[in-house]
Amino acid sequence: MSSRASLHACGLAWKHLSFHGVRSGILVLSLAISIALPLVMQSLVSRGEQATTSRASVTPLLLGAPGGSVDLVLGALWFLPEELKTLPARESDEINGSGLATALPLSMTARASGYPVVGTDVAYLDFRGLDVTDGRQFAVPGECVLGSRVAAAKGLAPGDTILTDPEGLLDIGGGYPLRLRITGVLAPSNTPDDGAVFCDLKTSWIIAGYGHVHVEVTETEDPEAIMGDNDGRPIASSAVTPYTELTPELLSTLHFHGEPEDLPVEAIILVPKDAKSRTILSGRLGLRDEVSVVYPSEVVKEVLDRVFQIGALLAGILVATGVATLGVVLLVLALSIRLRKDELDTLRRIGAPRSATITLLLAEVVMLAALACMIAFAALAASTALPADLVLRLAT
Amino acid sequence: MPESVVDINQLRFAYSGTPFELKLDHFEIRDGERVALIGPSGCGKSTLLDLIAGIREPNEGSVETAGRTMGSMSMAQRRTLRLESIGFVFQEFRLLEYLTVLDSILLPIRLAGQSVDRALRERTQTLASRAGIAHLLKRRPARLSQGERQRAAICRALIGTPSLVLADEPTGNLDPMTGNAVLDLLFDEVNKAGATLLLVTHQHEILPRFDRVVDLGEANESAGNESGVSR
Repeated sequence: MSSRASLHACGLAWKHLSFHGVRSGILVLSLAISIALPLVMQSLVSRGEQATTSRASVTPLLLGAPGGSVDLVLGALWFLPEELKTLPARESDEINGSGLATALPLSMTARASGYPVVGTDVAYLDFRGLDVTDGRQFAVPGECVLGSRVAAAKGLAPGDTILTDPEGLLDIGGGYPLRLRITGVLAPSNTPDDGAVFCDLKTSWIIAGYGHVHVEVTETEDPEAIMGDNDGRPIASSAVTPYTELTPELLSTLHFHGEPEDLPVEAIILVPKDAKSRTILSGRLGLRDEVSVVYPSEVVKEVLDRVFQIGALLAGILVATGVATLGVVLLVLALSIRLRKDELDTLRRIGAPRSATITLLLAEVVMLAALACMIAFAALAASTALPADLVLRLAT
Repeated sequence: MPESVVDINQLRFAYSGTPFELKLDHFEIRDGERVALIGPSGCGKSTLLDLIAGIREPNEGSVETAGRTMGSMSMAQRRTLRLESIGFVFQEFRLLEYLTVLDSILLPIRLAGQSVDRALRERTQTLASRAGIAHLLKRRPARLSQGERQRAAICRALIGTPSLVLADEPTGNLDPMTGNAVLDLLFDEVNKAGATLLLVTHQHEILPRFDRVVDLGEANESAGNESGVSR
């Protein structure tokens, strides 16, 4: 058969597939899903492993209250909403005072628009290599910087504000949400830091209700704020502002109930000065029952081993499903050929070379497979846009 | 005397496992003849067309078509002969549902690996115009009437300028008026192409239009000389 005749047989194949567009589409999608799922899964697991391992490996030591080490690592490194036990902020001061390591305290109980609010020290941003591309770092209580994903998702920029989420809508005696002033936006880092709001420890304590400011109702600009007067004492109306904002004027009234060093933090990242300091520090802290020191890289390895066991099982299921789908597709094609008996007989009677008929049928299979592969690889390419730590998030 | 386009001698053909048997001692069609093939259902009219076209092989005897002896040809060579020298018109049209009328007409040309040049495009247009389907070239069979489908099928059979046209009850699925119009077209185009026509039919009212009528039922029974009704 000449190349022109082969080309025409391919053209016939394409016309047949196009004419039966819905059937062809279903076949292509079924094949594409069968091919794409294991590939995307493999890619996500691989990227997730890389991202997870790299974040853990640059976090030398983690100090927390005794309890689950996995929860501690997931909370401190990925800000996952785990209920962590706390330890006093004093621990951080003592480690800094020892000269063995830099301590970076983390308080992660609050959220703003659903994103975790991380109370920490500005040194945390330097430790993670997080640059402020727009604006400046937070400096005083009530200020914050946004991770790039938060800023993009909420359309916020320096000069804007963001409200923390109320702890309980039905708790009328609870603290008001705090309106945080945004001073900067961090550069994208493709890490969980992109999806967090960073402020200082004092701000996170105020959000948690450990400290507050006093607002003079007589000094508010709202004329409806004062309902009446009781022997020279103003009676505040119910028209109160449903949130608190730490203005420079109010900062002078800021005070905490208790000593700041006794206030809680969920975790402390320890960055030892050198290997010797690291050994000494882990030895000392390991002897104490009231704290727990963990090596994030070891904990993450345990987690990943568990994830990959599930991943391997899932991959096996996907491959089995793929084989079954391929079987169904081949059956559909075989049935299709039987249904096309008259068409093939017409071609034979007209005098179409056998090779043309074979090319026609093979070309259809190749075209379906090629389209399915294109979709599958497009899905694989698109999956790279997903967060690298997605697998870990899903698994936990 | 014109040359033979079809020359069959001592033909014996049977489908295995069935009592059917086609016997034909001699059957000949001369170049340019228009021959009607009649006979009762099951006497082997369509089978004879298949044997002439080389789609089936006889158990005994020889079939010579367009100067080529089928028995000495490979399957591929017989396919090429059909593609280049024989035009088929079927009772049930047999247009491919996914091809437009234009693609259907050009199908034999493309299957033969020939390029569709300007001359061929013009010929297609002329053929379709004479068949009255020039305005339907972009339509698919599902949107054509029965008569339009058969007209398209006739164009497909004639596009390659075959020397022999085999038509198997081409008006069998058409009403009398449409059937006559389709026959007119077929005869006109066969005449214009100078081709030979062998047409299977059950419609005795159209027999006067043929040069010769062959009753295969009688021929088969007698298995003697070419027999049947002849004009």
